[in-house]
Amino acid sequence: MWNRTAFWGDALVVRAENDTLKAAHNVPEWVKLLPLIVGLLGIATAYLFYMFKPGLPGRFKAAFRALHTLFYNKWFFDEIYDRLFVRTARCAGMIFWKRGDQNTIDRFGPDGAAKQSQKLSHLLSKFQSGYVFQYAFMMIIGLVAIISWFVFRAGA
Amino acid sequence: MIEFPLLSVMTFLPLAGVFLILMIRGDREDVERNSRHVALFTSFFVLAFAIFMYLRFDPSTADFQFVEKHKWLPGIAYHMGVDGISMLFVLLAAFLTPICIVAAWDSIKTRVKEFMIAFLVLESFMIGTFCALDAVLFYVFFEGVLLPMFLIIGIWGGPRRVYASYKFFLYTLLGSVLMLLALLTLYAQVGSTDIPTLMASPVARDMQLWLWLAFFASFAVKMPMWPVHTWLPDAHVEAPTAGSVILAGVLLKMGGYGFLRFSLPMFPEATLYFAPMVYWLSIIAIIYTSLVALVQEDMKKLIAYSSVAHMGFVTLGIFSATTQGVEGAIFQMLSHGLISGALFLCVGVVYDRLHTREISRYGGLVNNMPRYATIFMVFMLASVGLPGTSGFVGEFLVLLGAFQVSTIVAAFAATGVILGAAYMLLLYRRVIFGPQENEDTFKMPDLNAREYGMLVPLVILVLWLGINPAPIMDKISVSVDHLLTNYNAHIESAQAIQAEGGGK
Repeated sequence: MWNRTAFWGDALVVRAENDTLKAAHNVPEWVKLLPLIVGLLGIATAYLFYMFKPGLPGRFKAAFRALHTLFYNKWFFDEIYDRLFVRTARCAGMIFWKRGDQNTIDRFGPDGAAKQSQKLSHLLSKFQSGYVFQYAFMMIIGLVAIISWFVFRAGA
Repeated sequence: MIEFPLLSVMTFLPLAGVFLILMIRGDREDVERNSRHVALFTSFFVLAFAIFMYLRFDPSTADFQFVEKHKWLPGIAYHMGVDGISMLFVLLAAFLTPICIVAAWDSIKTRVKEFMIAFLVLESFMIGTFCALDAVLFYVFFEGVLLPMFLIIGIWGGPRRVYASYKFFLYTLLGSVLMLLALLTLYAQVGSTDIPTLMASPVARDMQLWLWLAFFASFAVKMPMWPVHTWLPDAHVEAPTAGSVILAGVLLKMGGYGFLRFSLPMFPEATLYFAPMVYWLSIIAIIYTSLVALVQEDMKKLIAYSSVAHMGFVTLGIFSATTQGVEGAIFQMLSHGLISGALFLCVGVVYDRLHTREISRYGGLVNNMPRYATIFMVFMLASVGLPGTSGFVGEFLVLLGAFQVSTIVAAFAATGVILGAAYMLLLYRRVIFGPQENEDTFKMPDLNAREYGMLVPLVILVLWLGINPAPIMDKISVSVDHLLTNYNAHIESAQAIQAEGGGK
């Protein structure tokens, strides 16, 4: 046999101090009737506005223009949401992508390193001129540098 | 009696397939057909062995199993073995390879023989990486993976393939060179490169910090973590479909696996010291790359960026060093391997028909490709982390683990879940729904038998693991417990020593 308490176990716990559900059961009688009354009132108003006196909505709109615009546009919730979250997220995404990934990480990271090493090898390739006297000159300069380093180090 | 060398057979069987393919002679068409079949059969054999390994695996012990050890070089042995952490990655690699070969069946039209050879070599190295129990052997396989992948992107890739393959290669190699230096230092310190020996003999704290950073350089690039992730979108966009699937499905997991195999057990104090840095890098990765994914116009680039975000969850889980976090990270890696692989396959399906990945060129596919739309939806929702798909389990466990360490970190990470839903739903709406503007999208046929063959197994696994994660959890839990027990013991003893030193 399937046992409800055994199946759910402690998956859904309602603590003793959390009495919202019980309180919701014991509201006064008029609270329970309220939805019905408001519903009926709504039907009556709609009938009054659109069947009995069709001119009323227009006059209402003229009298409470600001309120009407607010309600008509759903409190501008969609627009606020769009400005606040959608556009900011897209804008941030574009900034991170173009400025962050492409213009910072790639530019100074791999692409930059590649460009610099290319420049350096261009520079170094100029030393490979093919003239023996230039190579000899480089060797002498190197020799002088090494010897002076040894001499100064020995002196210190 | 000599034990059957299961792991070596799985690792080197693909190379035997390569040997067979190399011997094929004849007309171009014959060669292509035969090399496709040889590759597929070889990968099926490997999968059969991997399933056998899964069934024979004993989940009640954290010891390495199916161990093989042979002398190789002084101090360095040919040592193979799997535990609960690595075993499932071997299975994942073996499972995705035949799917990739099927994916490449018709879409690779040039140099088919060479493509199949590259793929089998890749499979061999991937399995070897997860089986290796010697750091040098691990390094050889870990680096070896780069070569076939470099060729797959560089030869069979898109228009910017050369740039992408070089970027991929150089990025990864830079990190790996530092790892090699760290390995040499470890060898000098401990006198062995045997992984179990290294785990048992931790080095001094100062040394740990340096070695941790060197290993981190390598694994963070592979993972990839922000800010060294920029090779991934380029590599994915240019790679052929099969290459993207393996790249997202298996290669990214090597970084996470490396953290679990090296960083946590060998450098526990350094891990504790650097964990906050990893949290922040993970959070930046999750939010930053999710936002970048939101504005992408290229389908593959969007999924590539979403992979970086999902890997942020993995690093978060691993370095939370809690049971839930680490188990969630492993689960997330396996599930992401299936889901992102499947998403790249889905992109490949429409790319084969229209030869563009631009999101705005598609739209309204639900009208003429309803079956494709359904399957794509399963993977899209799995990527979002809908309960009932495997994506949910990993993400939830990671958040649970992170919450125990820091509520702020968990709160930031959770925003990534919302952004994930935003970009995936946006992608789905723009590709599958919306107006059908282009004549040619209307003529695209629905999935064919070959495409069903590669997508349906993934659908089944993604849903099955989402509803019943036990087949994975049962296998990893003992190994994860063992890992964390050792980790905490190391930290406690280190703190005790420090306290003693401070008292004097």
